[in-house]
Amino acid sequence: MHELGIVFEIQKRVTAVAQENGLSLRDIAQVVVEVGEASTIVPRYLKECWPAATDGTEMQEAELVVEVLIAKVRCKKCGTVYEYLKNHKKCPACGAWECVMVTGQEFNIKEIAVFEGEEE
Amino acid sequence: MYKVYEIKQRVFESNEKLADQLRADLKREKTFLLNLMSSPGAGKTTTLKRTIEALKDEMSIGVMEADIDSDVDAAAIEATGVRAIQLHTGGMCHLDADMTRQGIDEFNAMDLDLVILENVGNLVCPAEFDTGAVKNAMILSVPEGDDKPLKYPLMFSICDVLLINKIDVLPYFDFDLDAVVERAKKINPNITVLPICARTGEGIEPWANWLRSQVKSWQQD
Repeated sequence: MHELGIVFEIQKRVTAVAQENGLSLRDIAQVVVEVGEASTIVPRYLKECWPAATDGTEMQEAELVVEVLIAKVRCKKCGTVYEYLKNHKKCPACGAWECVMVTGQEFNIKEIAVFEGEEE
Repeated sequence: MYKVYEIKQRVFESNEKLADQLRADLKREKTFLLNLMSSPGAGKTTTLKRTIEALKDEMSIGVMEADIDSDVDAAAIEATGVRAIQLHTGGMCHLDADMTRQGIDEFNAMDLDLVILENVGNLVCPAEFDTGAVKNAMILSVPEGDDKPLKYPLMFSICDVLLINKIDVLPYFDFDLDAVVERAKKINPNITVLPICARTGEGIEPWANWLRSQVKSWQQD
């Protein structure tokens, strides 16, 4: 259950960000995170853990949205940039295995959506 | 209606900042913090007892035991005559920089030369959270199998040293030591691999030497 610890970390981070921007946690409708395919974080587990972490807190109405970023690498031999998992880790141009990660290890809070207007 | 705030910040940013701050304070106080990780039962506590025996006459040592609950490990360490503190993670599967800092403060650990943090027995979660330690070490024991670098690549990628424990039982297991070294180095070319047997003390001296030189260079420059 490595995702539960991570969800608490998201919650902490969102709380800090809300404070910096003068936002009330109760008004947060959505938290959008970006998860790289090669980041060791499983989006489905993340979503399942989210209610467990936020239940009974000021953030319990907030929904967690996970956007997955495709893992792309650059081949060390021929320089081709390719999708890592789709090509089973191997360079489709020259067949080499050695590569450098370009994208896919991200784990960011992308944005926060806040309720606004009439009901206030 | 929604208003969207662009944030674009790494989730682990606050923890990483706290960890960097802790490392800076440790540097100033000349205290070396080692984060020791492994699966449950790999032999962390026995290895620690051997390590303490080898080093306690030449430096001041403290041990922080992270556990979800219980204090069996801290009691075992205190029997060796060094300071030990038990940190309870309150059900969490790892320690973060904030919990480590609280332990260090409560323990007055900054006047010690070497503090070893025995992390929660787990190869997944502790790899994700920087504790603020100067170096990371992990123990892999022979019965766990030689495929672990393939299964837990993140853990192997963040460790500076890999101790392979229980080498006395190598003849009884299909454990390919060379394959482990090769797999670990593929993930992390700079990793130092040291085979040990904590039960008999075999290989403890090279490990103690590694620690000795790390503590020395941390305190010097």
